[in-house]
Amino acid sequence: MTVSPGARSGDMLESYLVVAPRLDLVAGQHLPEAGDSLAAVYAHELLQDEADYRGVLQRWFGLLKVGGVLILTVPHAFLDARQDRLPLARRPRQKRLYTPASLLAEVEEALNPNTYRLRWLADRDGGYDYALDRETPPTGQHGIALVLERIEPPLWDLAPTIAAASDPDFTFEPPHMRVETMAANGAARILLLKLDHLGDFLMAVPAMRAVRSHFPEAHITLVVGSWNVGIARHVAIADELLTFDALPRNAEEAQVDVAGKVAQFDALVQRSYDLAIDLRSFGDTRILLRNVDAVHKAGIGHRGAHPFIDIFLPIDPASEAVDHAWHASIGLQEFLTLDTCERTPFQIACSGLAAAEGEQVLLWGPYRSLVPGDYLFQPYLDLDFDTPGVLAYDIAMNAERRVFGVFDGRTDLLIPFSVTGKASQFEFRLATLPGERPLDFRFYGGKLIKKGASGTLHQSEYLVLLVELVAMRVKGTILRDAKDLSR
Amino acid sequence: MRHVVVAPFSNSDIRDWPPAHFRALIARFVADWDGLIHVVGAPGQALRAREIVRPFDSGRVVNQCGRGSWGEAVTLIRGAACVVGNNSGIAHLAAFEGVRTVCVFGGAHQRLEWRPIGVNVVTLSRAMACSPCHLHHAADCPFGLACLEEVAPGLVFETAIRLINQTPEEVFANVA
Repeated sequence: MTVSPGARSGDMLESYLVVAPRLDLVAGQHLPEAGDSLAAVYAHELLQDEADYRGVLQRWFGLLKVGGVLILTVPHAFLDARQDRLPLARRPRQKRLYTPASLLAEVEEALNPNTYRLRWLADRDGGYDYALDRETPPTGQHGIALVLERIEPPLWDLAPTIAAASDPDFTFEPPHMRVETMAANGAARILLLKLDHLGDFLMAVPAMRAVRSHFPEAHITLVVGSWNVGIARHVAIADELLTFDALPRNAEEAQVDVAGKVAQFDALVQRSYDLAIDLRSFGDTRILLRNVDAVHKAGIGHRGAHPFIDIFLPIDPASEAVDHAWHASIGLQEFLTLDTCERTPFQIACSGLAAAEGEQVLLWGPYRSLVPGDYLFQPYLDLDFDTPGVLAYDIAMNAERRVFGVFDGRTDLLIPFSVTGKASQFEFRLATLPGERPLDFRFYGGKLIKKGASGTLHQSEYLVLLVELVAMRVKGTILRDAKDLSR
Repeated sequence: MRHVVVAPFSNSDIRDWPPAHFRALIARFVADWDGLIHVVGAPGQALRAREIVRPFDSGRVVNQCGRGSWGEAVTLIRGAACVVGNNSGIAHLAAFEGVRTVCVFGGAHQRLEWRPIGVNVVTLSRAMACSPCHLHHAADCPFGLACLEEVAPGLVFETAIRLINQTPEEVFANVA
């Protein structure tokens, strides 16, 4: 026989059971109406049979006065049931199995924080015979006891402080409630515009094929320049082919006037469509969609430029920004200058300076650390070439000159330089030449560009992305409000 | 027994509908609907979940916060009559699974970019000129989190019940 000594655990249950007046709860008992009065409430092996543990714990706890104790005992899952799941053959009414942790979790869930303190929690196995097999009812203690003391709660609580609502100055849109869902639409009739030239048409073929793939049953009308009719027939994506020369066949020989041809286009395209997509990446043909009778109109660009479009891929394929890995404007406050030059918040101006014997640095900065790579620096300068004199510039890394030049009549200078070492400090300087009077100049800061592409996609990729976006929207991500769906 | 899932927590409290509103919503489910209400969340959100479930019968409102495996959570959501959540992962999961979902979307982020997607999803949001603010903490909001405070529990409950009982088109024919 292997019996636990038990006493080593310092069983304190008896010391709490002497607290009076004490209410010993029994199953199904009607609780007293008046709460807040008892010094002790004892719930011996009742909680495990209650479905609403939160409710009974709150009711039992509510009987206590401040300083009173709630004494709970429950059967221990590992000592009494000796199994890890319900149901129990010996206690078919039992709703939950307990360990000390799960008992405490129920208490913490049921009772408001800081209305109680935990005074004692223990496994009770005094006299428990661990040698018995699982089928033999346990002997000795085989439960968990937990004692809570009711306390006077503090004035503060645990919730974060959120500023009280004030009256914001909601200028643009009065607050109102939005109730929105998404609607799945089909696209039985589709109008595609591909009005530019042969290479552009071929680069759009993957996008046109994607349209056909997403809407295999749709009737597709394709509008192309007259020069692309042959290739459009060869590609055989459309059910109907229309020709419209929105652009000149040779853009170098004629003026582009798409806006002037809108009425002509409206006369050509008079049917109703579920979807109309302009597959030109440049925005000049988007105006042709303006009067098209279509549920959805799509293209690359921004709503601000093309308000009649409801599905737009908000990118600018013509932007030079994608050709820069990184660029930053550097304000003139990052540069230092001679005291003889004039500094305002908007410019550094040097004029009327005399020649110096040696090279004299007039302006320097910004001492920025740059990672290795190829860069361009564009100083923002006004130079007065009408005044006699010369002005030199250089770029130094860690105070070592890498680039040197003299302004020769141009001010829109892009100065290339490379950074090879780590922790390199970039410095741009303006200086005189020995014995030469400096040109008068005004300096406004500059732009630093790290060379390399940051976001360039192929033209065919832009168009495929547009078609994928259109398919997602039309098939189910277009927002609908109540009024839209009730029509 | 049929059930709904209530997911009161996101990873940023500025996206969370106030706990008192979740309690009011659950109270409506308990009073006016006959299924179970499962409250879900991560282990770190269990303390806050206790504040929400505390007033309710444990037999009707089940605190699943921090309990069970990820697979069990997915099963719970797939089987739900409706899921109510914030702009959070659970709302996206429910939408992804095609479960009827009510998303209470705060003004911190742009709903056009971040709303859960699916034809069984209804997104409730408050038009506010200060939105999107892109703040991360509720305590930083100078307007008392008005974008979420002013989404009424009654509207959320009515929307959920209509979603449960009707198709989305029928829901919106009735929502004024």
